Amino acid sequence: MERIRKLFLVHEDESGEVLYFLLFFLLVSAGMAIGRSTADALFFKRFGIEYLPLMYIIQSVLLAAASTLYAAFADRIPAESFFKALLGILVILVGASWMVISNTGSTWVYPFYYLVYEVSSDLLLVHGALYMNQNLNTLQAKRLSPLIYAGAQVGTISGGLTLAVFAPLIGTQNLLLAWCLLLGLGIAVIYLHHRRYGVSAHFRPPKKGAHLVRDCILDINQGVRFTYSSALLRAASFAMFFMVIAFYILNYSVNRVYTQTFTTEEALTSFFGALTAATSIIALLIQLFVTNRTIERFGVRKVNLIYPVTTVFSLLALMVSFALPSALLGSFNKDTVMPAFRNPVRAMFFNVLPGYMQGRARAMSVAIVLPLALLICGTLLWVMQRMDDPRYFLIPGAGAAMLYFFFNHRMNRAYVSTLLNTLKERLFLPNEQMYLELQGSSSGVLDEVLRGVRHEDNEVSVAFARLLVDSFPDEAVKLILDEIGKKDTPTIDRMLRMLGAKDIGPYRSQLHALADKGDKHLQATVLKMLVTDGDERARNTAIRLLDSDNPRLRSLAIHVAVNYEHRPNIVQHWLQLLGADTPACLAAMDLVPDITNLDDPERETVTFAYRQALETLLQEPVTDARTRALTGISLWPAGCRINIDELLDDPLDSEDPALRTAAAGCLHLVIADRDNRIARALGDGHPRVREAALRSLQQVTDDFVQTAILWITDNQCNPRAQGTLLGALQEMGLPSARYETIAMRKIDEAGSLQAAVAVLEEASVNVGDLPALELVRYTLSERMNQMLHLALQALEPLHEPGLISIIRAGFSSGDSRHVANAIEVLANLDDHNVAGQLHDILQLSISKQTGKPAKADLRALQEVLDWCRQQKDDWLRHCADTVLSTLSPGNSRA
Amino acid sequence: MPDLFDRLLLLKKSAVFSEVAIDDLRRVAQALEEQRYFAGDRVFEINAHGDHLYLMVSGEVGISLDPDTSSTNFIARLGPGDCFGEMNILDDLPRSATAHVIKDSTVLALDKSRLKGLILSYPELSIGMLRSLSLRLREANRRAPGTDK
Repeated sequence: MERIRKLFLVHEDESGEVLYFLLFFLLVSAGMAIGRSTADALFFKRFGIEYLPLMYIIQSVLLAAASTLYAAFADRIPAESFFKALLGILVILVGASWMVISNTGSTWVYPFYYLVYEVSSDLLLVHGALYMNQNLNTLQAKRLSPLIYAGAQVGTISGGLTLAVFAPLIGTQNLLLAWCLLLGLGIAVIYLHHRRYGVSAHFRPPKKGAHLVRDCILDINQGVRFTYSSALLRAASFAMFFMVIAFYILNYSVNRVYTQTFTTEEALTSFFGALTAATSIIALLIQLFVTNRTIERFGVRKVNLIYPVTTVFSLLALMVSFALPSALLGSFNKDTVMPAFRNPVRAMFFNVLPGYMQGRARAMSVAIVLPLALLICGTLLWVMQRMDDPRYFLIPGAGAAMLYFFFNHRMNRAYVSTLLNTLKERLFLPNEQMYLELQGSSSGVLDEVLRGVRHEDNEVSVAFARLLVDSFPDEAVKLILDEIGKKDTPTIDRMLRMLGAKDIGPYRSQLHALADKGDKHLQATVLKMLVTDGDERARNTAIRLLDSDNPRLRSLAIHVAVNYEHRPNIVQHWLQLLGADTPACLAAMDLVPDITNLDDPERETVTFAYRQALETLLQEPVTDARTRALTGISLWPAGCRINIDELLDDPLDSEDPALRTAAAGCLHLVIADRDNRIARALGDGHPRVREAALRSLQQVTDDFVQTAILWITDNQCNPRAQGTLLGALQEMGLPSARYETIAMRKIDEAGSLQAAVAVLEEASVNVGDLPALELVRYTLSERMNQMLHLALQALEPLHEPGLISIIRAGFSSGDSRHVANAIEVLANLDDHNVAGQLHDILQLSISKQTGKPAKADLRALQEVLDWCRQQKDDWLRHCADTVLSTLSPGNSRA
Repeated sequence: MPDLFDRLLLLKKSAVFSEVAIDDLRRVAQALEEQRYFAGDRVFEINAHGDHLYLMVSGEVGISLDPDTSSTNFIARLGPGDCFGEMNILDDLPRSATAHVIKDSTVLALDKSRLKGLILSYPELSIGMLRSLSLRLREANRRAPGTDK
């Protein structure tokens, strides 16, 4: 059983579902095979092949009506319920036909029965694909739909054999009862399956409206509009239009050759039986062993071109020789190549459309395109069949086949973009239009922010002021100065500090007025802004405040003295400030950049004082004081050395992200174990800490790009840290080859981790449930996912903006259908080398089939654990050490 | 006393934290407090104010929705590895059930305010929690009759 599953690429948890689909489609197809042969035989016997074009025309009208009705309900009810209704109606129509044929001499029943078969077969074909779509995701469809279609092929062969055996015994018309029986069995199977497993996995019921008819009409309208707007559906509709013309011309041509070649009815029937058996068996073998592997190997888009190409050649062959060999080639094309390649692939193309539109999208093609093409084809053949030379209808047929190829090519181009759009829509990712709308409404946003700044709650007001400064930096100074009039002094102080080094030139007089009427804190803030802006008056005011009782004003005075006045003994004032209480020490932190203006030994003295002040401040119980102290020290000038190595451990382990951020901002000043500490901070759980660590790393490395790439490719920091570094590299911009190198390295590591996980899973069976071992497995699985995300992140700059983000979002969604679509997009990217390898690993990572590990060198548990211990990942090493210490020596080789 | 690995595994297998990265989960594991209850105790009562989430280490706890807190009409019996009281960790509503201790039990309790502090400090913790809760909701939808899977 295991071998059979693997041979047919069926995963362990899919066996039951696949068997169900095989049985169901076998029953339905066996019935349809009986229906097709009996309909053809009864119709041709009474009316003849010359009426076939006329039937095409009538069929087109009926199909349009039936499909429109179908479109109205297809997306409103689960596919299985619709199947039960369709099969039920068919039982009634076929049963009624049998009663009329058996009990009356009426001849109109034969074309009626022929049309019942033709219309129902088209609807069942479309609905069968929709039913599978509601139960399989894209990747499952790629693997399993050829197998399920093969089940249908077995049904066709069984139906054909049933006909051959029973037709002479019970008569052709009584075989209609066999079809009814098979339809009834189909209804029973579908009912029993869904009673046990519930509705189809991917069916999404629409919102129920009060008016069913109006809702149905609305559904049809939406379907038509969607067909018009979707590039994929437009191309698919044109492709189908030309395919139908080419198909029916080919069908008519080969039948004309056969009726000319086999003159007696017995010879023709015998030939049809042999031909059906042969083409069906070959189609079955191809579906079982070739189709899914071809799709897996070459992708949906390449396989989509097989049938158009073979159709062109079949019609060209008939043009060269309108004889039996060419006709056999044509039959092989339409009865073998079409079911083996075209039908499964077309279903997959529709799978990428939004789920709520699938039924209508499929029905639109049957309701509009197919009837229109049939009508044209029927009329053409009706006119052309009177002419002896078959080239009159073969040339339009070949032309239609070439256009069919062209539009299939267009379908291929629309496939990936449709997949992306569907993913975007389902994952609620914003589109470009939304960005444009947001940009366009910036004045509205500004009004909202200003309303927030005016809020009576000062905390709210300050929060909006911060937003204003960050979002509208050019207007912020004017707007904040306009708004602060009604605020209290501490709030004004906080708001002005946010303006930092912004251009305040035009507002100097306004700021002086504020400084004159405000308290000492506000005065310190305003004067500092003005001094920084080069205001002479502010400088003169500040220098007179060396003996102020406010430490911030004293700090400002020292700043002016050190930078502009060069007064003697100013260092004494500075040291006094640093040796005083906490507020004074914190005020002295503003003077850190001024140390460059001192010469030794004064600089050394001040440095020592700062070192002591920092040590004292870091003992403060209030984290804000510690944070401000470290933030000040983080601006320590390059070229001066201050030893704070052992002071940062506690702040870096703090739970306060602001304190951790401040500490990470000081890491460039550290000597001992600097790289490891920066690496750890780069992997912190808070983005601001990571940003601060990144700035520290940039300050200490001569070649940041080289260092970052090395840290990423060599795993010198945890995956989160690698993501931070990669983000920084992407902002700087790198040559494509560098990104590819990073992506390939991460893919390779993900492969190793995947293999390691597989080994641990096998080992846990032998060793038992060791918590450490289980945790190593969780950690490795997590690391593998993180490596895959890093690989995707590295690919981002190589593709159009947003594309990889959508794939990452799909992959992270946890929804099997979105994951499958994301992987399918990846498989169809132009970058075959990197994306292809990533696709293979992603596919394996979501597969339930663990299979054999990809890397043989990680087979044994001992080897995996040793490998974990060699990694630079502290946590992984710790887990591996614990497992090894708990394992007895005999257990380590699983 | 479960060690760090046991705590991490309990968290990793719980409905609320299953999707949180182990790197972040280590912080949560350190915040868990061990509590012991004896058969007949109630961990919490319906409509009471609640501020803890519980992870079962050993024993058995029954959950009752009956407004009568003495009722032992259980809708669920929980054992080692199960998690309860998690709804209250995210909303501030009163307890929606009573948790009766059926057999002597050891639980690991996580304080709501402690968790909020951790989330502020390590925001990606909350993204993992949201993913876990989303998966749980999907599972509940799948189990509910007549809804999509």
